[in-house]
Amino acid sequence: MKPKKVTVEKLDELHGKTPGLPAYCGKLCRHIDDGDHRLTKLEFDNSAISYRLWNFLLTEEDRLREARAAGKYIIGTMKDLGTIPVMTYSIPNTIAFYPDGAWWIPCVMELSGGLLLEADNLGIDESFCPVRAMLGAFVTEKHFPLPDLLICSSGAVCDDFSAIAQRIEAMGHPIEWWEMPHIRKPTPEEKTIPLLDGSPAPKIQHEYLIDEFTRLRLLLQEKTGVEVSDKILSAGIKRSNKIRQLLHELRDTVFLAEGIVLPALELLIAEMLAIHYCSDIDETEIILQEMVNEVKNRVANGFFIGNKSATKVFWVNPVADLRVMNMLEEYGCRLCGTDFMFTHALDQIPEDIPPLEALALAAMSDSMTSGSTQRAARICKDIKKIGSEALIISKIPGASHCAFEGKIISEIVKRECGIPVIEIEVPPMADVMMMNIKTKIKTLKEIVDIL
Amino acid sequence: MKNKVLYSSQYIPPEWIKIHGFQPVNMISQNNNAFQESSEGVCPYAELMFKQAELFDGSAVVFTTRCDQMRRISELYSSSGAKLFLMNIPATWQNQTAIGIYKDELKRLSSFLIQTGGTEPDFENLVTLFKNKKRPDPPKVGNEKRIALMGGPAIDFDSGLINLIQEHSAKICLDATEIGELAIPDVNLKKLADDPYSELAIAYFANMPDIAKRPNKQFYEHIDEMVKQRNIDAIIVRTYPWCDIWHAEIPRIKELFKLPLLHFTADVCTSPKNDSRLKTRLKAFFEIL
Ligand code: SF4
Ligand code: SF4
Repeated sequence: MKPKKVTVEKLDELHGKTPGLPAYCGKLCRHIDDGDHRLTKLEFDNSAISYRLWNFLLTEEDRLREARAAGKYIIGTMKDLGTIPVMTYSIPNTIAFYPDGAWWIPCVMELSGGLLLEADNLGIDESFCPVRAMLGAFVTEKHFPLPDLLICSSGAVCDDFSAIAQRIEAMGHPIEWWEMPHIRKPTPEEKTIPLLDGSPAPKIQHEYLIDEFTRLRLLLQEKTGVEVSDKILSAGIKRSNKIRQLLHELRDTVFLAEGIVLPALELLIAEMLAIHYCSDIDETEIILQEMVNEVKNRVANGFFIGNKSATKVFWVNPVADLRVMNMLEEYGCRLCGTDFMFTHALDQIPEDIPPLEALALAAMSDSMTSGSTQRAARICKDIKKIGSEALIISKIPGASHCAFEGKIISEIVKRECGIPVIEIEVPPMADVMMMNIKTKIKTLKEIVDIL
Repeated sequence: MKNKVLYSSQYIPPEWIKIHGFQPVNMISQNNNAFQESSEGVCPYAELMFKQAELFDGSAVVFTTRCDQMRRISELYSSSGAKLFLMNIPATWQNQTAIGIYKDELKRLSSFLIQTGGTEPDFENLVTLFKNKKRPDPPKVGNEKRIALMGGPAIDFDSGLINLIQEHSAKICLDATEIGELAIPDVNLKKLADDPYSELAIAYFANMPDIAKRPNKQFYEHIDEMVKQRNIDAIIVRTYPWCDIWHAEIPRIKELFKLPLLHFTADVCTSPKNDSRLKTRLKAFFEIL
């Protein structure tokens, strides 16, 4: 089948035509009836794997409830991009769940879920980033079952999340906090350790994290009744690396292809799977593998979406309104490089050192815990590798990091890579700003075409 | 000016700077007139600290990671190439790792100060400095309404706020702002002499009640005690725009203390004296009281 972008109704025509799909698959339109109205405004990749991917994403709540009913232990891993979920999935009968994912509910439900209103009522207004929807979800208990245990990182994290998580705890949902130090450059006399990207970091900070993860390991043991041995953790890391490898392959194939082999929207969803596995690590692996197969097949057959002259755009930060990902292609651009704030979850976790040491390295490699300069360095490296022609930094309304990082990243990228940069702000429902976003994307394309 | 070190937070012991041969300068004590306009999305207080650092002509500047805004503003400042120390302040405090981090950061600060031209730490002097440091007595109050002030750090424009409050026969009897009374450490001199790192980590970090800590129950426990001890009648919370840390806690403060509460958001560029809306709100608040 030649790839193209289709409506949700058209994608639903695949229903019943693909054998061997899991039970959670059904017509996507059923979710519209449940309130996911944004689906009617989005365009989707027309492949069978896209159909499965979207079904997987949109059934997380049901699958979590089934897991609860089946007696699984559910751990809410908050403000954690790829560390505690790895530990959690190492433990039998336990699943990690990512409450932060409520970030996208206001968009998907076009605000009809009332989560932002709930947050407003609790004094968490639009001066906070869209993650405030998570607070609403804890209040309504409608979007996910309350986890059995909440584990949240603190320290070098955004103020938005830290403040909201504190409110959640004060509402009677106990949280186990762990300390994520601000990762700094080592001083000349300090012992260092290489992070996942090879850059040196202070060894002492690595030791702090090992201590923290040792504490969490004991907690997990106590709560689940399972011995969280090095052996099972190592197996969990191996599994996680498989997922990371698949995502890596997917990104490389998509970014380095001659034309669009996967729309930006589906790539964003695929990246999200890799950090928390959408509450099912086995299914995540199958889906990512099939996505890799699909895009490789498209490359081999020269099947592209749209024409090959699309401007190659590197995108920084996730978009609160998924529709904006579609717009990129509508205005003659394609996604070639991303930093959706979890690039560290792409790197392989070392398998040749004790597992807690390896996980500590993974946590330290999160560029959100160091500075925007370090983040920009990775972005520049990727831009040069991929050949991205422009950079878009999407600002997240209210986010405590966004007022600072845009300036730093854009200056460094302009200087190091010599490509044009724009910043756009994307709220959860960007409809009123679409003209503005469209003009900015089109102008960016025009500038690239002139250069 | 070259022997001065500018610091920005309650977690940085000025005495520690002093025993390395530098004169500590609290950013808060600097002239704030240089700051005319705050930027979108940035806590004006954090931005003010950034401007103060830019204007400072001393040996070095010390920022902390206490909140994300401060952590990130220090990065902007570091791009100027200035001598900067960013002290990592853990948000958690109930575990040994966090206390260990603070102690290590004191040691790292010490090395930094020595490399910046300071001396080896004079620990004897440290004890003397704390001997002379007295916690202020609670203010004496007559028939005035007793107010607890909370929120972002008080800066010199607050004298306008204090005057306005006094005009309504009220007095600030508890300064629970970010760098107010709660930020004054309680140091055990004997322990300080025995193990300065551990005692400073306890007094300046582990026992420091702070709304930004996770969890922040220490803050509420202390305030609750003080509100009761001082018979507080009402609470005024002044937050800075874009400060999530304080902003998120307003409903909780209201709920826990069950006292009349006035919350307002103010930029550092606007003096309360010139804010007619605030004046009206204060008037109405005190009338209701
Ligand atoms: S979007 Fe930014 S501000 Fe919001 S929770 Fe994520 S990291 Fe924090
Ligand atoms: S007022 Fe708020 S944002 Fe500003 S420095 Fe204090 S805690 Fe940080």
